[in-house]
Amino acid sequence: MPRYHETYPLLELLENIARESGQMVHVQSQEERDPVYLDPERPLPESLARPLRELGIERLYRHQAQAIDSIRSGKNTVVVTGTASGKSLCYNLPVLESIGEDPRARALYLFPTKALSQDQLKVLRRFLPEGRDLMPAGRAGRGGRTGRDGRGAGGSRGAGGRDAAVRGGAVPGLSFPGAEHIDFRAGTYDGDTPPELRTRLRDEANILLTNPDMLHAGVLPNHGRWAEFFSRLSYVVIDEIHVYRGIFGSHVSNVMRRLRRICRHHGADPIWICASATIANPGGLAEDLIGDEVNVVNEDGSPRGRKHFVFWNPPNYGPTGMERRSSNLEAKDLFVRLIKEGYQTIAFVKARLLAEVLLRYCQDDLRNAGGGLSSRIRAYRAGYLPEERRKIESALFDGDLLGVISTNALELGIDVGSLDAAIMVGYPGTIASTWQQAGRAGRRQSESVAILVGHNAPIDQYLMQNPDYFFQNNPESAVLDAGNPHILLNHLRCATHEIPVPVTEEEGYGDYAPAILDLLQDREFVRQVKGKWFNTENDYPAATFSLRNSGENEYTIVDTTESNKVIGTIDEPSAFTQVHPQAVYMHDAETYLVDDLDLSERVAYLHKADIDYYTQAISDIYLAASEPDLGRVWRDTSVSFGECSIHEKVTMFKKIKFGSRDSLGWGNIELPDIRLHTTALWFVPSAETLRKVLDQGRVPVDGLVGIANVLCEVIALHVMCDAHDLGTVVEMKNTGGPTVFVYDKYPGGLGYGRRAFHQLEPVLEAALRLIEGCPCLEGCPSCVGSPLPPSYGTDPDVFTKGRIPDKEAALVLLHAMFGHDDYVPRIPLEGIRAKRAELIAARRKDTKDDEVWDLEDGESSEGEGGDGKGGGSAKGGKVGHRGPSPRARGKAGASGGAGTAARTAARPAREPEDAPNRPPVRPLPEDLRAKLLGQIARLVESQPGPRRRRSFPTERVGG
Amino acid sequence: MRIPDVPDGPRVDLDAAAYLDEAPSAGDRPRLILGHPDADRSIRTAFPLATIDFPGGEYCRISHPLGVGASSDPELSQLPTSGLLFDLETLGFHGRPLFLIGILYPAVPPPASGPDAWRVVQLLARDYAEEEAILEAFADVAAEQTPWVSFNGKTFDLPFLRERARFHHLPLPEPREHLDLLHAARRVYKGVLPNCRLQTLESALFARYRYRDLPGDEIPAAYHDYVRTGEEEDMVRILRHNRDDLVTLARLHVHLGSA
Repeated sequence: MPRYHETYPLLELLENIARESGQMVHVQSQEERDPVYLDPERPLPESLARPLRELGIERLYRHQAQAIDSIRSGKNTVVVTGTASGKSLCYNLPVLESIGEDPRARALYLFPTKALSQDQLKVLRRFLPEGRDLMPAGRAGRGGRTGRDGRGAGGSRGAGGRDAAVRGGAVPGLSFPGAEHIDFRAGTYDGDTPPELRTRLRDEANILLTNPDMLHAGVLPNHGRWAEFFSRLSYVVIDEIHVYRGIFGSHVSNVMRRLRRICRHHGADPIWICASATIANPGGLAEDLIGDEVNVVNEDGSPRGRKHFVFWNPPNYGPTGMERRSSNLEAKDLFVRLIKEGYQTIAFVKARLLAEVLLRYCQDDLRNAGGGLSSRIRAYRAGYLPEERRKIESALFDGDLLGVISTNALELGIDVGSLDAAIMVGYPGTIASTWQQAGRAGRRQSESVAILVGHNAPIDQYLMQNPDYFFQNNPESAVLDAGNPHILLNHLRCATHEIPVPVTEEEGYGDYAPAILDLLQDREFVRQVKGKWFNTENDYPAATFSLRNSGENEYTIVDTTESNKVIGTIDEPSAFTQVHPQAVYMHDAETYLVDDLDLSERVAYLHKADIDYYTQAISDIYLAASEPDLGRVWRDTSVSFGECSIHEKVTMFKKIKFGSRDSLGWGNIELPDIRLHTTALWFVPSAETLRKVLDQGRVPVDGLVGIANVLCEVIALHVMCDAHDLGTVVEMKNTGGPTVFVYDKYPGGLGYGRRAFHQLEPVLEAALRLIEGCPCLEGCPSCVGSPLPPSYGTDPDVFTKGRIPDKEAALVLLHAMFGHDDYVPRIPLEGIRAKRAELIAARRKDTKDDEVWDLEDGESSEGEGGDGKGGGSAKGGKVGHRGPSPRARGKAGASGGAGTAARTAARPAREPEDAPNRPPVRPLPEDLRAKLLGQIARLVESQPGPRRRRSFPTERVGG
Repeated sequence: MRIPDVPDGPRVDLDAAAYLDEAPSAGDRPRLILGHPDADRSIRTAFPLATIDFPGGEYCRISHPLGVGASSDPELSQLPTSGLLFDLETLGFHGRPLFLIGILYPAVPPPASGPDAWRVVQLLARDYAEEEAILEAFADVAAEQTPWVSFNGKTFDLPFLRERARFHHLPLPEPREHLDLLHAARRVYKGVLPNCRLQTLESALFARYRYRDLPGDEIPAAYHDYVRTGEEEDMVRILRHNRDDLVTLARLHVHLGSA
């Protein structure tokens, strides 16, 4: 395939396309950067230097050498450098070196996804000679070591010279057969690993690649079987740590604490190595995650070619000049053009459906162009089977594929090589993730370009007009809270199960850990005996909860065209919107018609059908709040905290014709709600406050939406979670007035709303300061126009109709709520929004105040209406609580010799006793205690069968 | 380290620990139903005598002679003079503590040779913290005995012991010889009996039945209750269950000719 880089440089090409309509609103160019090399203080052993040379690496970059020095000196280290800067060498080299020195050394690699583990396994393979297996079958297949029998003997056999040589450091010129490479075994250990390989990996692998979920549920609870592994564990590598933030991060940091205890128990004290994409606080996040000090290495020494970051705004059109050409079509044209010119391109879209539709459009265009280009582009997204994804990744890497249209599934560090161009269709939502996606483009030798195509949405348009906002702000911080009591409660159950926890160590888990243990003892989950906490549950505690807040249920997609064949998987919320009966499902640009969605078996059956339309599901989200647990009036705003459920109901689907995008009709969908039962904070401004907004001719709900968006960010900071862990809903069916709900996106809630309830004043103050202090006029991503959609889950396919937040109305509201002087809007409402406000004002004259709001509440809760109120039926509270059994005092010693009664073995009924060395227990606040008891009650309920089943058969005799 | 001696519990006729039921038909062996209140009583009597402290840990050791009936019992009377039969009670399949190690072995010095020399010793952790002590005590006794005899011990009991010993960083002696009677029983009775569970063999081969036996899957909960409340009732039932298993194991050992 000819490439035209030289004749038609990228930027010139883009300028040409934009000449007529002026879409190219901003270009930020990054000049070429030469590599900065550095040698480690001590040279690498030949056994590593040689495979590196074979890979074309003669010298290391500065950050790689610094990382190696830091790790060799025994420091925990986090490496933070750009995409494709060679981060994995930073940990692979020291780890392999240590295995060279001690063939029994073990290392644990953690990646957030199975795909990344696979990818890194491929990287490790390059350090073995051609034809050498990572997990050779049979113990005899290996020269240096013969598996289990070889333990203890270490490297004393055969290659004695090798070991000596490797220990001696660099050995130029030496070429013992064994010195050519480091002999090691490695493999991925996750849900896909067959059982027989699992045992071998456990016993033999030097490097075990897995994910936090598997470590939590599959390895740590069985650490007895892994004793050999843990006792020799010298490195723990955690890649992509920026993913571990918010709820997920809080869980994983607790898993790391459990891992650390288990290592200590088995006599190991590993060095922790982390790698992160660019975030504001990599060192802080790494320290929170591993619970120890970390040395930060961030001086990126890798070279970079010239790179341009282009902001691309689709042109205005239409009589009003308010409409813009679809950003999807704009992106399609760009993509097709780049491919035609021979530039390898990736386009990021925010929805899986969009990836498929866009692929189809691009293929149609390219087919007309001829040259077989249409077969050289693919879609890539969650739901494709792993094999298929691996194929696409390697085709992209090898250059067989020219283009990929992907969801953020390709944002994480899977190595697909560096591409010429990355197109982001719509702002990805955070600065960090935008840089991640843009980082997919970046040739070392030649130019590359990243293009952000703006949607016609407030945030995107703000960025298009204020590109500096993006380039001058730091990427977001990542925050986690290892001490969250709700999360801690579950991990304390696991920790006490894995190794009894001495009372003297309790406080290491956070201020509330001792009180939580007391609570768990009351409910018979743990028991303190002789100064240690023991777990007394029957089931594995780790099996009872998940580290991620996404649903567990996964559906299989079966193609019945010829014979039943699995073509993909899909999570439950997405299944309801994408493979409901009569949906058109698209996979690699093929269209399938869904025949049936079997909810009990979790299978979607579909067949190939040549269809000229696609379908888009429409869902309603509504919130039903229970009676509040806590309530108060703050100034004159009524504030509540309590349980609520968020219902997402997929109600109907639209048929949309390919090409013309005409609507071809509608269909109904009969599926159950997807429910999230959780806890929320909510508040209702007083009638007087609302009137002040109306008097300014603004719409209160638009102001509240703005406040709600800011609150996500502000509360996240106050309660130490990620903004994505919170959801907001603004509606009025539950309380009768316009209400802001902020809920925890986690079943049962994690106390974020409760803490915000207690800190409402500082939280709202921070919100006010943030909005007031923001230099923008009409709202921007930094203030009221937060890009977070108010939808359940983080599925990019779920779009809710966005209301445009009104910054000025938000300020009027907040001023009034605080009792400050009235805020007078600086800018009038414009266009449609002004019309709407007028309409409301007109209505208001004829109707009672209470009804005014209904007009504005048409968006999110029409369908089921507010009769879901009180839907929180689990609020009964008393469920499943078990008090301690009545203690009939044992008749200890009664039948024994009187003289020995004092030495009775069956001691009298024992009150739980605190060990004398137990530190004082800080009591739980009453409302937190109540919530934790509720969480425990739900645990009791969800466990199969009663925890204490006792039978006293009277007549059952014999077998 | 030697286990310090503790007083034995009263000598209980093994089959006095059983009701004599009517033989279902003439010629059959009489059906013996295990679980007579006398058995519980004898266990209970031994119980409070058995607390011992010794350097390295505290636990409870319950010791009984095999029983007066043993010398006239068709199987038990033929028990060899050496060996160690063992059976564990645990709180789960793995990753959980164990709390009771029942062993049956010839005491030294022998009061007499033959079945009277054998005694049932139950090493009991009265709470979770005593596990280490009973493992140590077991290691101490077991090191000198051979062969080890178990039921499904190759798959379950021995790996479990190893795992727990590793957990506590204790050395565990390996058996010089280990007879797993489940395998031997399967070779003979597979397809003959509905299954080869211990209690199936017990009733089919030795005509013994259990009354008020504590089913295995309820044992963990019963133990947790015992730790929590200190009520003997729960513990006595576990001890009896364990002892019945050991005695049947001994009979099976002779019956299958592995002795």
